[in-house]
Amino acid sequence: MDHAETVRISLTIMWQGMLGLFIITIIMAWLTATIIKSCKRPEKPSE
Amino acid sequence: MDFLLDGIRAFTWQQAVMFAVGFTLIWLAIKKQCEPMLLLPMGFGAILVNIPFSGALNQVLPGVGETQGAIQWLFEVGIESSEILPLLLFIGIGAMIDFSPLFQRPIYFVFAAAAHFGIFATIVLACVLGFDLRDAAAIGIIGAADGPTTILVAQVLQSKYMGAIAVTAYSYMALVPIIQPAVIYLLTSRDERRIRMEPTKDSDIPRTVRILFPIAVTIVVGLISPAAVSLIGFLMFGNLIRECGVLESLSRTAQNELTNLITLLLGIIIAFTMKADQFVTRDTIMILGLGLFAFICDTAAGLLFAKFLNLFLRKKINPMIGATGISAFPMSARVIHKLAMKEDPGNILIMQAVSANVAGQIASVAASGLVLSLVLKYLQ
Repeated sequence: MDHAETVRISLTIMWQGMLGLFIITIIMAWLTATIIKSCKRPEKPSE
Repeated sequence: MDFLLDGIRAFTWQQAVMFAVGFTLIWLAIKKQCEPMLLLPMGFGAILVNIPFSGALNQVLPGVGETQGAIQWLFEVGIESSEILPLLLFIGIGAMIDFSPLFQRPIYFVFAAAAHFGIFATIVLACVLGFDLRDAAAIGIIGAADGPTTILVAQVLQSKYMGAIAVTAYSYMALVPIIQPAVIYLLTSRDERRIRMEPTKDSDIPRTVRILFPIAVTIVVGLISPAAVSLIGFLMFGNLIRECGVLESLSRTAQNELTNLITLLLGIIIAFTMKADQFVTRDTIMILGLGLFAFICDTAAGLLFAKFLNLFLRKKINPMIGATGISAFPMSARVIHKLAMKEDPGNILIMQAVSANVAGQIASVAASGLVLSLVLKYLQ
C-alpha cells in the first residue's frame, strides 16, 4: 500500500466511521427514549 | 569482579532517557496527582524494564537458556494473547457508571458522536505523516480519551507503538482541565459560554429501563460494529450487574477490588512496551503531538457541532456541552461545569454535562469498534 493509497483509505475511514458513529448514537438515543416511554407507569390523576 | 560492572557498562543513553521518563511519570502521579493509579505503576515499570539485563524481562542466560521475566510473562498472557486485562477493567468501569442523567436527555448521545471526530482526524493526519494504517488507527484511538480502549485497540492492531500510545492517552486524559478550556476560549464567545439551559425535571427512571439499557446497547452496537462486541459487552455487563439489583456484592467487587487489581497490574504491565529501543524514537514525539491534536479536535468538533445545532434551535444549547461528549468521565463534565459557573455563577450545567459525558463512554467504545472493523476490512 503506497502513501497516497493509505491517505485515501484513511479519509474513507474518516467519513464512514463518523457516519457509522452518528447512526449508532441516533439509534441509541431513539431506542433509549422508546424504552423509557414504554416502561413509564401512567401518572395517577391528581385528586 | 568484572560481573559487578556488567549492568553499568551496558547502560545506554536511551535507557537514561527512559529513566527520566519514568521519574517524570512518578512525579506527575504523586506531585500533580495526574492519573496516579496508572502513571505511577507505568513510571516505575519504565525503570524496571530499562535496567540492563532486567530480570523482569525474558533473558537468554549462558548455560541456562531463556528465562521468563515476570513483566513480559504478564504482558504476553494478560494483554498480548487475549487482551483480557483491559476487558476485565471494563466490567469495573461499567459497574461504576450511572447512566441516569443520560436517560433524562437521550438526545445528548449525538454530542458524543461529534466529540469523537478527533479519532478519525488523527488517523488521517497520522497517515499523512507517514505512519502505516495499522499504527495510524492505533494512534487515532488516543482521541477516544479512554485508556483501556486505547490499549486494547493498539494490541488488536498489533501496533509497535503501544507504550507511547498508552502513555500519551493517559497523560492527555490527565490534562483535560487544561486542554478543553483553552479550545473552548478559542472557539466560543463569552455570550455563548453564558448561555443558560433550562434544568430538566429529573424523574425516577424505572428499574426495567436501567436493566434493558445495557442489553439494548450491547445488541445495537454489536450488530452494527461486531468488532466492538467484547468492549461494549464487558462494559455493559458491568453496568447490568450494577443495575439488576440482585448482585450487590458482585457489583461492589467489580467497582472496587476488580478495578483496583486490574489497574494495579495494567500500569506496570504496559511498561513492557516502554523499552528504550522502542520508545526513544522520533515517532514517540510525533505520537505525543498527534495525541494532543486528537484531544483538541474532539473538543473543537463537539463545540462546533453544538454551535451548528444552535442555528436551528429556538432554545439554545450551551456549546460547551458539546465538548463533554468525550469519554474522559467525569473530568470533562466537571471542567465544563466549572467554566460555566466562572462565566455566570448562576449557570448550573452539571447534569447536562454529565449526560453528554456518560454518552461519550459508550460512543468511545462504539467508535473503537468501528475503527477496528474498517481498518481490518482495508488491511485484508
